[in-house]
Amino acid sequence: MSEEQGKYEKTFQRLQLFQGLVHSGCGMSMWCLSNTGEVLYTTSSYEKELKMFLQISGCLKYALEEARDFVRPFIMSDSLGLIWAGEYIFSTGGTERLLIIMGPLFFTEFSVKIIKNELQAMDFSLMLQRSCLNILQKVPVLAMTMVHQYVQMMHYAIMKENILPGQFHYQISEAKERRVTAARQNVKLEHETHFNEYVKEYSREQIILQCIKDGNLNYSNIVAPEIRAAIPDSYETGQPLRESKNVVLIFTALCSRAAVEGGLSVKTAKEMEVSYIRQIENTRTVTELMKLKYTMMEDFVEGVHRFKNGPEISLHIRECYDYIKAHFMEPLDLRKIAKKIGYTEYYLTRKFQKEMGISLLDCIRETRLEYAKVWLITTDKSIQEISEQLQFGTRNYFSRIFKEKEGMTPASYRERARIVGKENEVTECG
Amino acid sequence: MRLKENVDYVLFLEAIKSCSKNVFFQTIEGDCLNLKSVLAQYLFSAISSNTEFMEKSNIVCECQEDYECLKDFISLIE
Repeated sequence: MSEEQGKYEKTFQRLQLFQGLVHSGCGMSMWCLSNTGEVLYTTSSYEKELKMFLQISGCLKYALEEARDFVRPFIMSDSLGLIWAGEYIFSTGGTERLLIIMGPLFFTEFSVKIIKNELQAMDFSLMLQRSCLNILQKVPVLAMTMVHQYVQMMHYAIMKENILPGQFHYQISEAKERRVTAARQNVKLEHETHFNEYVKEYSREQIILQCIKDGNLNYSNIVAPEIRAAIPDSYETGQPLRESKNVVLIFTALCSRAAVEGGLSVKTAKEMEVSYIRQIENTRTVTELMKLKYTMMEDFVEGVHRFKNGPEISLHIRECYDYIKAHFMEPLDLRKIAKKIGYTEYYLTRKFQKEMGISLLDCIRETRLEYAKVWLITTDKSIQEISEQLQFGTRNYFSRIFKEKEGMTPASYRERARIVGKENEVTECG
Repeated sequence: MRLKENVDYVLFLEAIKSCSKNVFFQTIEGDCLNLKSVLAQYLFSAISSNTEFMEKSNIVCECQEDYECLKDFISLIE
């Protein structure tokens, strides 16, 4: 067996294990198609019907045409709210490509309920309703973050490399949003979102906003663990795309404000905000919206980064500053940074102080303290954990320098934030 | 008009896009699906495996000329 064949065999072994895991875990189907769209195998029990869904939605056309040269996973969606993820693998010798598709799945349980209500409202026969619902009710419902994780796993099974959700391709569809006319008042909300889930969501947002304020180009690595812990944006209003748009619109405004706090001019930030709001309103599918959200976040981070790295700051100092912002969770050795930049330790510290108006060590400490404040308020991490993860060494040292900066210990800072939060809740309830 | 045997339903739905007016799929259960609508196309796909159901259903075009567009997929003799 040639090396290429061996590699290909191993990829398929990993994929077989992966498809077994996802099928047993959540009932999700996997498909393997030729580069002409012929199904070579699938774990789906509704091969014919679901393949037709894939075709009539235009998703298969997208996968075979637009996505055929992609080397990263791509996520597709249709007007019913069905989501599919795909990626190509090379066949033996690399001469042919095979298309691996995972799906379909829904982001929210509400999607099936809406369709069910519509079918009832249209007075279709029970036989017709049952045929459709039998298929749709077996489609797994997964949070967007879980879908990202499964796609990351699929990519690992295929390429043996890690990938971040921001690196996926998202289908931009011409399909028009289906107007939901179901009588939504008849649909009872069965699930309540727990408060803790909102806290996680808040935590995720705060970390992203902090990265925007810093103009931190390494933000995707920093926010990835937070995104894994986040919940899907679902308010069960019956209009998944509309509510996702609302969430992204609000988030755009928050990003814009964070960028202003990071130093971007109000005019520039507002122009970007308005431009993105228009684009968000014009999106037709959830995948299109997800892609736009990543682009928007990147754009704001880069905008602040460009501002913070104006011409008055030299290239080397800019590199040093970026390095600190990207690696603040790791031990930062001044000597190593100086060596990396090509300066002596003494020259670097003096030049940094002169150009940035803050000493290098203070800059590192300030960066870590800013993230510590966010984590204290938005997470349940212990003070010991925070001091360790942010390289403060001991809890005592962390508490001491935190107190010097904020005038109170980390524990008091967290406690005060909780009291303020509760007071706000009481005020809102009252 | 009835659907021919072994018709590629995806190509059939594709051909409907070129019809000038609505095309309906009338089932023996009394359902009437407007195959120009996206939801109806999904419903049509969902029942496509039920051969008996498909064979006994009727295709009705609002515009007489549209039958010509669909001649590869339907039997013109009722």
